[in-house]
Amino acid sequence: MKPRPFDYVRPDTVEEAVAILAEHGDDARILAGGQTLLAMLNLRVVEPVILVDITRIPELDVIREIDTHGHGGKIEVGAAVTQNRLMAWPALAQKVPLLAAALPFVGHFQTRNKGTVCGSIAHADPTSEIPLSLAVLGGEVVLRSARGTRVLAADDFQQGMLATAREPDELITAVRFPVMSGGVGFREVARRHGDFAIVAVAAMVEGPSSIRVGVAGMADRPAVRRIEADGASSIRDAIERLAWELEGYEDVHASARMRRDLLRGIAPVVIEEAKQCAA
Amino acid sequence: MHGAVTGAYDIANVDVVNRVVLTNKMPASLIRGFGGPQLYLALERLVQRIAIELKLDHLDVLKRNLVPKEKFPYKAAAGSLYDSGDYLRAVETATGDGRLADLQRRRAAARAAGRRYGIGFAAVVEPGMSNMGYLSTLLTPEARDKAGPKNGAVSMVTVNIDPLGAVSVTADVTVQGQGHETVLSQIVADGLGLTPDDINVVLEMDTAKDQWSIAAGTYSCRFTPGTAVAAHLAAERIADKLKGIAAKQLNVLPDDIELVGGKLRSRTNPDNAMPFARVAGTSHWSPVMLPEGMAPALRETAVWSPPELEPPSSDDRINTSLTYGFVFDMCGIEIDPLTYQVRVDRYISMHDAGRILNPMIANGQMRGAFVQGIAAALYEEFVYDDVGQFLTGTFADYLVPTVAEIPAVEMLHQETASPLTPLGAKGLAEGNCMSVPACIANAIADALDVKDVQLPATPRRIHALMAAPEASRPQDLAMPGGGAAR
Repeated sequence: MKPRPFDYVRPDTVEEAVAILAEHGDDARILAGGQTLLAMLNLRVVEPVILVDITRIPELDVIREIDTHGHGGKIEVGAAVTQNRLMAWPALAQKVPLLAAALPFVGHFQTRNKGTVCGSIAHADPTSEIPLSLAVLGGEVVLRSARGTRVLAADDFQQGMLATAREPDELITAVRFPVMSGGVGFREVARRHGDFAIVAVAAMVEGPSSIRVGVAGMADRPAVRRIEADGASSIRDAIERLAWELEGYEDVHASARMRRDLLRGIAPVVIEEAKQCAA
Repeated sequence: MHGAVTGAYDIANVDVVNRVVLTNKMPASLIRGFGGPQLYLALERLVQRIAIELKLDHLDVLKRNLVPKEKFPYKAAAGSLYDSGDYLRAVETATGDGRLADLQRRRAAARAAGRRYGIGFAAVVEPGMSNMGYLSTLLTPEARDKAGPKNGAVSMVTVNIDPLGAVSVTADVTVQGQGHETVLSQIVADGLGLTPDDINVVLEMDTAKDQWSIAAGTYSCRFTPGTAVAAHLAAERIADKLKGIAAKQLNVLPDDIELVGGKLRSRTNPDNAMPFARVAGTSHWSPVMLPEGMAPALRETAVWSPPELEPPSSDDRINTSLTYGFVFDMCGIEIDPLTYQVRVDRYISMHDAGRILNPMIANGQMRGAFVQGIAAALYEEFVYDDVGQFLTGTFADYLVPTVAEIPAVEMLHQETASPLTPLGAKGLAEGNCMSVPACIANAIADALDVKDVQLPATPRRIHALMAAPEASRPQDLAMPGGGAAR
């Protein structure tokens, strides 16, 4: 299929972009890498009146470290930064090792050349690796509109299946990942290389017996829990509880029961990898 | 497939019940060995189950029932005439040289470590070049009698030589990338003492002016037993004509002429020779110099219609194809305990397709069929939900395996020439489509010790086969959505 006709604009500044969004609201869609949006257009899942291409706005094509008022450093990734560009950023493995572990699972090399980090956050697929990483890290999303700027915690931003707190006139200008150099682990189960995850698990060591665990593919958005546990049996108990809390869901690739079993099987491995990585 | 319904086994009697099912689900079309994967999955799973039920070794049951070498040409119960084969030797070769022992070692080591590992076997007969008469088996014998017999599979190729000695070939196939141009140029070059580079093969076809008959096209592995043979015959006929022309000018008998290295020369006195182009030019420019009674110019259309492709009998038996190759597959698979995916550990595929015309193309075709076999065994499926909603309508859900999903395959060859075609070559591009799903299903059955293996063996299906009863929900945990635990 081919998309319905639409208008296309390519603003040069964020001010121009948010002015267009203010004018068109829900009729506009933001085009960045287009790796999901173009398929949705072709399938006519979305039928925007106007596409706002933000890929040539220089101030959005930036990766930088910022210090946010004594809350520790953060890595800010602009809305035009592609997934491969972030993967190739030399300091990534040192500053945000969880992203370095998760990004290779995002689509394919070719799609990462176009797909953007913020685009994945904006799309809010419940199985996506980047929203999962942002949730586990406790990152933030920066939103701009003609009305001003607001910064939302990851948990407040992603609200459900493909649903976020973004208002129709808002543009995600950047996401911020806290600098976090503890041990990390990341694994996902997919049918083929590069497919959407059935279940993905991310883990990050916070302290000697404290681990943050994030799970995607079990609910309508990533779920994050702090597991305070020393021994293997207490970790298993915590994961068993998490499996039942999230329950899982049924689709063509897995039953809810299978999703719980995937979590039971993979989460201990990922946690162990994170602990070894921290040691 | 009809005539070969008993597969590679020496089974004297067969009773076939056909059920016609009308469905409003996705219509299936005919590609690559269609019907074969379904037949052989049932047949080869049955052989494995017979072994389990009788407490025998699967491979022993398979080997003991193969059509023995001395029975070829073998008339199968449903009517196929298996032209040639040495099935047991193929199986012995494939399992020999430490290959089966290696799989058994891998399985023992994996099982000792608590992992799920299985070994599978599958033997299939691969028909090549359909008998067009099989279409009439759709009719009752009475209706067939009334309509008159239908049979055969007419193949046609034309070889043409222009006044400058340039050779061109046209044929009744519509090539889709199988390398037919290459193989036709090889065959015609061999017949005329030229190199493949000298032969211009033109396969674009216009049914309004080009040669074609009922069987024309590219399907059912009919190129090698059909079109390639017609090319061989046409080249032979042109060569005979050239020999006659050269013999007169070189003052020798036509039988003494050979076509070698771009020349026609006397076998007994090789210095007595003429260039190929000059002999060819004579037929166009100088009809006066031709042997008495020979027509000028050089254009031969050969028609190949083997007599073995007979009409169906009154009791619905039919020799459905001209050639019958043999494939024996053996594999070791392991089930990932965390992801429920089937990992192919080692895969060995033994082929006997008669004489191989081009080894590289043959291997490429076999690998292509292997990939489609893996797809059928593990990935591709049309899924509907309980109310008939189609769930796999995009390539995000209908999973075509990519290169990353395809395991290595070790191809082995044995060449038992077909006595029914002048080239001895059989069809070979469809066998692995039929053998791989059955072989992998048998390996899964072995790994999980289960009776029923549904394909594709998706992680979801494997999980359902493996899952032990689940521990119950913690009592104190509220149901999702705020409801109390029941």
